[in-house]
Amino acid sequence: MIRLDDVTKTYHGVRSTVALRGIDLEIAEGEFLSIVGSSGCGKSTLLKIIGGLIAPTSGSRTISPHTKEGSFAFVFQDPILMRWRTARENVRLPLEIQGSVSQKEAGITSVFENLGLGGFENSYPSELSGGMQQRVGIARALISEPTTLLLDEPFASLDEITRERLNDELLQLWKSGATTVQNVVFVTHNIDEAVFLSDRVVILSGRPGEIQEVLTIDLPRERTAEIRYSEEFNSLRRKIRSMML
Amino acid sequence: MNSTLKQLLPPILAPLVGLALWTLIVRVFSIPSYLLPSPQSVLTSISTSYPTLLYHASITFAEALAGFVLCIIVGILFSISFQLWPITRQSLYPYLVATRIAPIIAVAPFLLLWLGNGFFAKAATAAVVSTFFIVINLTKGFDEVSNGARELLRSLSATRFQILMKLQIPNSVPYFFSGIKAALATSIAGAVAAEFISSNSGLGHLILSNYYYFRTAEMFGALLVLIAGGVLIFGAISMIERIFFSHYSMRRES
Repeated sequence: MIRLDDVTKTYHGVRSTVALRGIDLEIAEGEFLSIVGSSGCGKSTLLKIIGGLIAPTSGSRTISPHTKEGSFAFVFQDPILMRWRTARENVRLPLEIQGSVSQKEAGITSVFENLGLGGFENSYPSELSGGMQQRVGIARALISEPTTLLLDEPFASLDEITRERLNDELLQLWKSGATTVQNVVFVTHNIDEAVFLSDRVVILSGRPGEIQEVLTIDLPRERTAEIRYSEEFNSLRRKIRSMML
Repeated sequence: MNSTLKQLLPPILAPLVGLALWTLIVRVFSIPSYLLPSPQSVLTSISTSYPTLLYHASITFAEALAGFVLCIIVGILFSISFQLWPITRQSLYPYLVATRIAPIIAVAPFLLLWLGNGFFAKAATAAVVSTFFIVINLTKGFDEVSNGARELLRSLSATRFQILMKLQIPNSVPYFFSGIKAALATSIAGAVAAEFISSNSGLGHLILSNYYYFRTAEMFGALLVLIAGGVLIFGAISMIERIFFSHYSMRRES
């Protein structure tokens, strides 16, 4: 469980900007939560505060004892792979930094299998498509066995088909129990994606970023590709869209 | 095949045309050989005196390469300390430019005075002019890592030292190679400049001593050996970079 109480984030520059204001949010165990909002509304900032990458200017962040600090892993929009490392070496990076190569190196192979990356271990990033690069980015996040996975518009620069396929796969992987991930926090500006994936969707209004609404997605948890064309799906989409003005 | 031939032809033909023109000018205007010897007489001088040329070349290139290695070591140490201890960067980086602005020919006498007339003073002169390029390029390579990559490493709780080792140093490899290519040229220049001031061996000494006797063909011979040696080392560095460090280069990804 992760809880934010009255969190505010102010950036001090030439002019101070209030990126986030009065954020109260609780992420339950085993929840898939999406944060949507237009560009520059502070959703990335919110994700980084949830993950403890940046500290709030005021307010507090509490995590329950068994959601250990350090069990957060990020996936960014740009997969940020190191061009001089093969896919496998990129995924090994967190282990090298945490000094756990010997214990966890064996896990790389199964993470590669789970993400459909088998056979690409020795490819360099420049030899991989955008979708494959982002799979490597996700593999790198999973290798350190996080309990909370934080994704910041991970599929924003991919084409529609690849994005949908990766959405399906992410969901399958999360539910399959093949990973240690319990919570997923997913930042996106794509409403379809948010509805398809989430248990709840947080709608942020822009400048300063405030929570406008938290919507529970009461679709069946078994989400098939078909669900995207259902009436309920569409009405949820419309509802979110109307709040994002 | 045809297109590679088309690409290779101009760089092969250009010097041949140049040599033909050179020969022609020397013949047509009957230029005395102390002013401008014909290419043939330069070749003859090289072929008759190549043991001497090689001896002096070995001295100059030993000085230049010692300076080159020294500047790489010193340059790396400075660059890394600038990253790990910002105070060193704040206090020293601005003055690094001074080592580049000061003409080496004016600095060399001091080094010769303090370090003696020998090999080490020449190597030191070569190193002093060249360190700048290593530090400037490495610092650029260390600095120009994306904010995203920094953020990724911070999200993994990497230490300052780990960020340097895992991200900044590998990122700087192509910058490092540009740096050492520039440093190679100035190392050779530094060694020759120091030889001009005081020496009794080396290609710089050879050029200067022949100059006093108007033995221009011999001067040309020494100059050509100097260029050929430099180009050879330059080519070797480029080859090492291409073969062993190709994945570090900044090609557009995907």
